[in-house]
Amino acid sequence: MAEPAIELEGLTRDYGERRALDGVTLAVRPGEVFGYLGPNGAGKTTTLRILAGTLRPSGGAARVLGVDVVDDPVAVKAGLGYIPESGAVFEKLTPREFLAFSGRVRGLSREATAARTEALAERFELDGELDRRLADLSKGTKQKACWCAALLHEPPVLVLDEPLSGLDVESVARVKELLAELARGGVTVFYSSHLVDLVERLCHRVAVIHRGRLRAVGTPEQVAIGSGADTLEGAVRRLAAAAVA
Amino acid sequence: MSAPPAAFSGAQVRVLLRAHLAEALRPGRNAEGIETRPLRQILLPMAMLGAWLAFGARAESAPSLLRTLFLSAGVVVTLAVLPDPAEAYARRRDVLGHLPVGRATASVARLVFLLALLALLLVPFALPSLTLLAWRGEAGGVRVAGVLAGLLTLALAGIGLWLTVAFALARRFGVEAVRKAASVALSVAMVAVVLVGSASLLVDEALPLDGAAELLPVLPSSWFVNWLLPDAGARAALEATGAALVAALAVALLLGMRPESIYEQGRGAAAERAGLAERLADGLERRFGARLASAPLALLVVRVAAREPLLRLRARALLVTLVGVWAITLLADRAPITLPFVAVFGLFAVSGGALDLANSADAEAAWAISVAPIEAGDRVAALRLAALVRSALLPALLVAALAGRELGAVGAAVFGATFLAVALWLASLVVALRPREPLATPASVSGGSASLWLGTPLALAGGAALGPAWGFLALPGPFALTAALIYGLSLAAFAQGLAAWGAARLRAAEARR
Repeated sequence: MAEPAIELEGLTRDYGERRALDGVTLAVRPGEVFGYLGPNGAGKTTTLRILAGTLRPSGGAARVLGVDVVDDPVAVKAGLGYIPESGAVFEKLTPREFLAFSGRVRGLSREATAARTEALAERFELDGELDRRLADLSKGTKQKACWCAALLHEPPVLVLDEPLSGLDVESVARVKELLAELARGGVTVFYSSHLVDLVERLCHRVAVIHRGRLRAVGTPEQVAIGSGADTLEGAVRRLAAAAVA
Repeated sequence: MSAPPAAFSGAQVRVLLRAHLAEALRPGRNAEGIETRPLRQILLPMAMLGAWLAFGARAESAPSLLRTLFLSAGVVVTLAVLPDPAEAYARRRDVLGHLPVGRATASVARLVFLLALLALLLVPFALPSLTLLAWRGEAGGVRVAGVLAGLLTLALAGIGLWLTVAFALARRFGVEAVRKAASVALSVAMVAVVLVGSASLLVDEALPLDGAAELLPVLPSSWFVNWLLPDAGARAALEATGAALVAALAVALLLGMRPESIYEQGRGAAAERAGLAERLADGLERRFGARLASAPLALLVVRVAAREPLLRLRARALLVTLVGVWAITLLADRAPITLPFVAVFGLFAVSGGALDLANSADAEAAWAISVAPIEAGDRVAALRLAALVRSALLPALLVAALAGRELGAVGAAVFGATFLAVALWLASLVVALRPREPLATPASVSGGSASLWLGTPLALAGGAALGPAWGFLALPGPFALTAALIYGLSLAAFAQGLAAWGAARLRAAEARR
C-alpha cells in the first residue's frame, strides 16, 4: 500500500491552558480529495496551519509525503500549496508581483513563473486584473490570486482552508472541476470547510472534528450511516451534539 | 415612518461632530490597517516642530518671529490636511451615508470638526514661540488670543483653498496621486522648518531670516497677523479685511464642497511605478534569485515597504532631512559638525529602516512568507539585503561626497566603503537584537518610537564603528584603502556572525509559535 500523502499521529496543540487539538490521528492517501469538517473553533484551521508549517504542534506528529513538519519544515513547504482561511494578501502589490514572489521563492525561473502565471490567470479569469493593485480588487478576485499562488509551483499536496470564500458561482464550478482534475493527476487535497454539502460532493473521504477531537472518518456515506443520520450534514450535527453531551 | 430630515439640525451637528472626532482621534486602525494613536501622532510632532522653529528664530524680533510662525503654520498645517483616501471615504459613506442627515447639517458638522482638528494642530505648534515671546515680555493674554485666532483663520483659509485645488487635481489625476504629492510637499515643508531650527547648529550662524524681513510682512500669511503688530503701518486694516474675505471665501468653498463625484468615479487602478530601491532589488533578484532564496524575499520586502504609506513616510522623512542637512553642510563656508553628523544620521536611517521592515499594514498577509520554503538564515539575509538597498545606498553616497569634498578622493572611497560595511553590520545587529519575520508585525505609529529608542543608540554605535576611518586617512593613499578594505571585511565577518545569531533566534521564536 502506498505511503500516505498526509499523516497525522496523535496530533495535539495547546494554546495556553486550552487544548485546540487533542490526539488527532488520520491518514490521507495520495490523489485523494479529503474533506475536513467541523463547526467553528473545532480545530480545523489549527490542523491546517500545522501542516502548512506556520504553527508548531504541542505533541504528536504530522507528516507530508513522509516528511515530518517539525523535522524539515522547508522540505514540507516546498511540496505544499496552501490557501489560508483569511485570504489576506499584500494589498499594495499586484497579483502578478504576488505570484512572481510565490514562484521565484520556490525556485521557478522567471520565465516559468511568468508562463504559469498567465496560464493560471486565464483559467481563473484573472488575466485582466494581473497588473492592478490587489487593494483595488474584489474579495473573490483576491481569493483567485491565492488559488493561483497555491497552484503555481504544481505542488503534489494542496492544503485549503475555506478556499471558496468570496468566489462567485461560476468560479466555484471551475474550482470543482479543477479539484477533480488535480485528483486525477495524483494531487492530494486536504480541504477544510464548514460547507458540508460542497464537501460531500467534492471529497472522496471526510473527517469530522469537534472540540479538537476526531469524531468520524470515512466516505460521506460511511460517516452518515455510522452516525445514524441520513445525510452527511445530519451526521456532522449529530456528532457535534454527541460530543457536547 | 420617521419625518424627512430638517434642512439644518444643531442636535445632529453635535452627534456627527462626536462621531467625526471619535473616528479621527481614538486609537485604532486606519484605512490602511495601520495601528494609530492619532492624538499623540498630532500633538507630539507639532510641538517638536514648533519648538524647533522657536529655537531657530529665538533671536528674531517679535514681528519677525510671529510672521515666520504664521508662514510655517500656514504651509505645514494646510498640507497636513489631505483629502481622505478612497477607503476612508467609503467607510464613512457606509457608516454615515444612509443616515437621515441634511446636506447643510453634514457640511457644518464637517466644518466644525475641521476647526477642532486645526486647533489641535496649531496650538502645540504655536505654543513654543508664544512661550518665548511671553518670556521676553512681548506677548500678553490679548496678543496670544489674537495670534491663535489669526492662526486658526489663516489655517481655515489655507485649507479651504487647498482642498478646492486638491479636489480639482484629484478629478484629473486621482486622489492617491494628490495625497502622495501633498505628503512629499509636507515632508519638504517640515524639513524646511527643521532646517530653520538647525541652521545655527549646523553652519554656526542663523539662516538669513532678517534678510527676508522685507518680504515677510507682505506675504498673504502675514495679513492674518499684521493687525496685531506695531510695525504694520496703515495697510494693516486693509490686509485684515482681505484676510477675512479670503477666510469667508474658504468657508463658503468648504461648505459647498462635494467630493463624492471624485471618489465614486472609480478607485485608482494603476499599479505604482517602481522606485529606485525597488528597481535595484528587482535587478538583484533577476541576477541572483535563482540561487538565493533571500533575493525574491528581499524584493518582496522592498516592494511592500516602498508602497506602504507609513513606512514610506518614515523613510522619506529621514532621507529628505538627511539630504537637506547634507546640502546645508556642503554649501556652508564654516560647518562645525558635518561628516560625523551626516554619517550618524545616515546610520540612523539604516537602523530605523531595518527595524521598520518587520512591519506591515498587511501583516496578516505574511502567511505567504511563512509558508514559503525559506530557511531562517535566508529570511535574515533578505531583511539585511532589503535594509541596505532601501536605506543605506543614498546615505553612503552623501557621506562619500562630503568626505570627497573635505578629504579628497581617497577620503571618499574610504568613508563610502566603510559606511557601507558599518551599515551591513548595523542591519545585522538589528536582526540579531530583534529577530522578526519580515512584514509580519502589524505596522503602528508606535513602531516609529521603537525606531527612535533603539535606532538612536544603534546609530551612535555605528558612528563609533565608523571612527577608525579617520585613522586610516593618516596613512598614505594605498595603505589607507587597504586598511579600509581589511576593516570592512572584518565588519562584514562580524555581521555574518550576528546574522547567524539572528537566524538562530528566529528559529527559536518559530519553534515557540
